[in-house]
Order: sequence, then C-alpha cells, then structure tokens
Amino acid sequence: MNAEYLVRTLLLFFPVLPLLGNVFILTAKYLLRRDISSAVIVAVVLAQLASGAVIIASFIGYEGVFVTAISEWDYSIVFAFDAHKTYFLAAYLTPLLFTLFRLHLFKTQYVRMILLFYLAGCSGLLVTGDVFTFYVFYEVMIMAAYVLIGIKGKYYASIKYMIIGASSSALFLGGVILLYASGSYFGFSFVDQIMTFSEYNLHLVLLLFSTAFFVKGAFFPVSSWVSTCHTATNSLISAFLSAFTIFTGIYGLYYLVLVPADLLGFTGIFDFLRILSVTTMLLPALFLFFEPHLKRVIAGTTVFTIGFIGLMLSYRMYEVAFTYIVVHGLYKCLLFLLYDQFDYDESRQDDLRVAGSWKALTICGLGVLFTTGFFPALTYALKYQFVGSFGGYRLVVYFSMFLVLGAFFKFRYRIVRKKENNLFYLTFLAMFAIYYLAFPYPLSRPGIAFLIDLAVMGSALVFARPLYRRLSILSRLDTRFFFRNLNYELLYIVVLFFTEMIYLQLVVFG
Amino acid sequence: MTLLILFVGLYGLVVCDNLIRKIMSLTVVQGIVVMSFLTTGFQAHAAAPILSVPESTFVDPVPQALMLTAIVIGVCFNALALAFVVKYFQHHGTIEISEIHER
Repeated sequence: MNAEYLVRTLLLFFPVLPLLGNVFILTAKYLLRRDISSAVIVAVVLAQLASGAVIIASFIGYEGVFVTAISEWDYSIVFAFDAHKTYFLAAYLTPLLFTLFRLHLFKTQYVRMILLFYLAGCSGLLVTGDVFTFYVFYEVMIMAAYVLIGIKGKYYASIKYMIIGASSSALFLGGVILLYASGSYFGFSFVDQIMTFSEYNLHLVLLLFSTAFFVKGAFFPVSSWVSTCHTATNSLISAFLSAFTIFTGIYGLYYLVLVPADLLGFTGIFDFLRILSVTTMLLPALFLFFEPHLKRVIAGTTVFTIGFIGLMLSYRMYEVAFTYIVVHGLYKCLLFLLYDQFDYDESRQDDLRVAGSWKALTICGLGVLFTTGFFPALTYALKYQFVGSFGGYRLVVYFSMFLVLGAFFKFRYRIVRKKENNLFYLTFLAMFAIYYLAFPYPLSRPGIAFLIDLAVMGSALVFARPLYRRLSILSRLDTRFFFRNLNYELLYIVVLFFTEMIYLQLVVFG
Repeated sequence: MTLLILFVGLYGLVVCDNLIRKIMSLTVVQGIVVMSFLTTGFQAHAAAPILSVPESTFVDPVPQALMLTAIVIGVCFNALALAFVVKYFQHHGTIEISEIHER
C-alpha cells in the first residue's frame, strides 16, 4: 500500500469515523444495554488526531491536490484536499485534542452523540471538494452546534444562531442554484468550467457566496451574535466554535469567493473585503472594551481576529492568514478552557473581579497577550509580516490592540488556591512548541516594533480600568446601538448584501 | 412572482417581532430558494427521470435530488427551531424579541 493510497483512504474515512462511533454507541445501547459513549468519543478523537497528523505530514512540501470522487458520475460527491486545507485541519485538531480533558462537560449519552455529529460535520467540511456537499456538511455541523449551544438552557442564543445561520445558508443555496443554472457544475474549481458563461451571473454567484460567508464568518455589522452564541454553552464547545466553526466562513470565503474572484479578475471583492475587515477590527473591539462579561470578552476577540485575517486575505497573504487561524485556535482554546478554572460571578457583571490560581492567571495573561500578537508569540511574527508590508494599517492594528488588551485589563484579578491538572498545562506548552517548530516565521529580535507594542500594552494596563469606569455610561455599547438585536442583525444582512452589490456594480461594471 | 414571495419572506424575517413568525418567514425564503432550483431543471412536456419509462426527454434529475436534501435540512431546522422556541416560552413566558433581554 503506497502513501498516496493511505492518505486518500484516510481522507474518505475522516468524516465517517464520528458517524461510526454513533453506530457503535447505539448498538451497545440496544444490544448490550451499556453506555460506551465516553469510550467511543475518546477512540474517535484519538483516531482523528492520528489520521489528521498523517494527512498534515503528507502535505508538507506537496503542492498538489488529492481529488477522490465517490463514483464516476458527473455529479458524484467529490472529496478534495490541498495544502491550504491542512491549516484548517490543524485548527480543527487543536480543540479536538482538548476534548480529552473536558469530556466530563457532556453529561448524557445523547449530548455525547450530538458532539459526534458535530465532529462529523466539521470533518466532512474539511475534505469536501464540491459546493453542495460543502452545504450538506456545513448544515450537519451547524445543526449539531445549535443543540450543543442550547444544552445549558440558554435557548435564545441557540435560536438566534439558528436564524442567522439559516439566513446565510439561504443566501449560499441561492448562489449554488445560480452556479448550477450557469454551468451545471458544483466542483470547488467551478471557475474553470464556467469561464465562458455570463460575467454578470458569475458576479452574482460570488456576491451571494461572499455575503453568506461574511455572515457565517461574523464580519461587521453582523458580528454581535458571536458573543451571545459562543458563550451560551460549555467551554469546550465555545472553544470549538471560536477556534474552528467560525473560521469555516473564512474557509468558504477563500475557496468559493477569493480564489474564483482572483481568477476572473473581480478585484472589487478584495477592495470590499478590505473595508469590511478594517471596520470588523475596530468597531467590535470598541464594543469589547465596554463589555463587562469576561466570557463575552474572550468570544469577542475572535471577531477582532477575523477582521485582521480578512485584511490579510484582501492582500492575498493567504498563508500568513491561515497560519494566524491555526495559532489563534490554540490561544482561544486556552482562554475558554481556563475560564472554567476561574471564580467569576456571572450575575454580578459590573463587579469585574476574577479569581484564579496563579498558574491559570499567568497562562491566561500570556494567552491574552499572544492573542493580540505580543512578543514572543507566533502571532507577533505574523502581525509584523503583514504590517511590515502594509505600514498604512499600523494605526488600526495598534488601536484595536489597545482596545482588546484594555477589555481584559479592566478586570481585577486575584490569586486563590486551586487543585489543577498539570497535564492540561503541559499539553498546551507542547502545542506551543509544536507550532513554533511547524511554522517557519522568523521572530526578529525585538526592536522598535516591540517597544511600540510595549507602549500599547502599558497604556492599556494603566488607562483601561479608569477609562471604563469614567465612561461606564457606554457599558454594553453594542446593545445600546442596536448591534445586538436579532431584528437589526437580520436587517444588516440585507444591508450588507445590497451595499456589496452597489459597490461591486460601481467598481466592476462602472 | 418568485421575487414577490422572496420579498414577503424577507420582510417577515426582518420586521416580525414574534419568533415563530420569524421562523415561518425563514421557511418561506428557504421554500422559494428550493422552488427556484427546481425550475432550473424543468422542461415542458418532458417525463419524470425514471429510466424504465420509454421516453426520450427527461427533466433534469439533479436539482430534484439536491433539493430533496435541502428540504430535509429545512425540516430539521424548523423542528429544532420550534422546539427551542417552545422551551424558551416555557422558561420565560414570551417569544417577542422586543421583550427578550439577551443577558
């Protein structure tokens, strides 16, 4: 058996593993009257981690694409995998690894089975090679996520996620229809097949896809749902949603919008993405600064990161952006899973006091600094890779960094004694080390850039709490200005669609 | 006609304050998307795509097969969304968005 055959087989079985797990659980339940769900999840997670590592290793230095069709029919389900997908696979494997430490958060057998459905959706999304299978796996993943968000009784968060997710899916399905009507083709490389068709139709397909992914990826102004929906559930699911699920919006945006737009020469989409990304970095960071709930602050940093990644994508710095997604996934898992270790009274949100062990607080502090790209984090190297090339964005980057750091520094932290799992911390340290070795971005010696970062951090440390207290009237800023209201958020989807349409009409068609 | 129904659905989705009406409006939008796809495969006077039928022209089976999947997903969505709305109502006594406080 050669290596390529092995990888192709692994790719086919990757999304099937969690579903097989569910078959085993049901078989044991009805035939043996035993609950083996926890053991099955551990087995599935270990199998997926091992397969994922083999797939990633086989793509090191390989630029080709593995394409496997289920049958020879023209519309057969197609699985495809290329080097860029390995980044998203790594972003998926990070929270998957920490599932082993937080399995106790899933109390019943049914919830564990839904977790397996969620994993099946995520895995399928990674290996899919055609637009319709992408839609199906996305829906499998998101349906399971809706249920997992509601497991702690915060049903409104789940309903909100459902309505916003289904609205974006309707837009996406509209794009699929137009794509089929234009060229009767569904593959990810659809542009090659329908180059001869009407430019207007292609433009409309990309418009529908991009709006759908802007919503799924939580670009401003449809971004406030993140802090509501990602915080309603347990910390492991929050980590999954923030480290992987939300980035499937970026994944779809890259494969189904940016790559085709680049091939067709529709540069207007990149300009629009640039504008959207800058607002996504700045305004949600401002809302974050005035957010009194710690878990919402952690969730909100994802939106700031999405803005920064969108900015990199708009300049076609794909590999830097994807590496940022992987590294951000680790920091986000760290912050969400450490949130479990803190004593934080959710009902007294204006008190802003957090108590935790010295180890948890120190590592959380490092996680916060690393999330915003502070030396010696890998995000520091990635940030300066971008800022070094496009210096005009320095002010935007530093100001949003100040707001995000300030959002954390406005809390008061206190050390308490706690029993801790050292293996959990060691796993994180091992992952940090692996990422440093895996991504060859040089960490230049700290110079003037480091001093500026230090000044930003210092000012956030000194001014955040007094500023927050003095401007407490602005607390929960997004709620006051209708950014966290379902009716308005749905209106913003329509506004986003028409704004992009008008912008592209003006740019592309004069 | 398609556009008119789409706008009715969108209007309901954005304006309705009641969660059940909002979900119904979303169903209208999804329904019209499915209808649009089915019409792309439609051919007048063509037979159903069953190979045993001795006809020379068939309607395109791909949109039908794919939309069957989309309909199943839509049904799951509706069932789940309505179940959550019922649970929310049991706990909070309202399903009007203007009365729901997110915190």
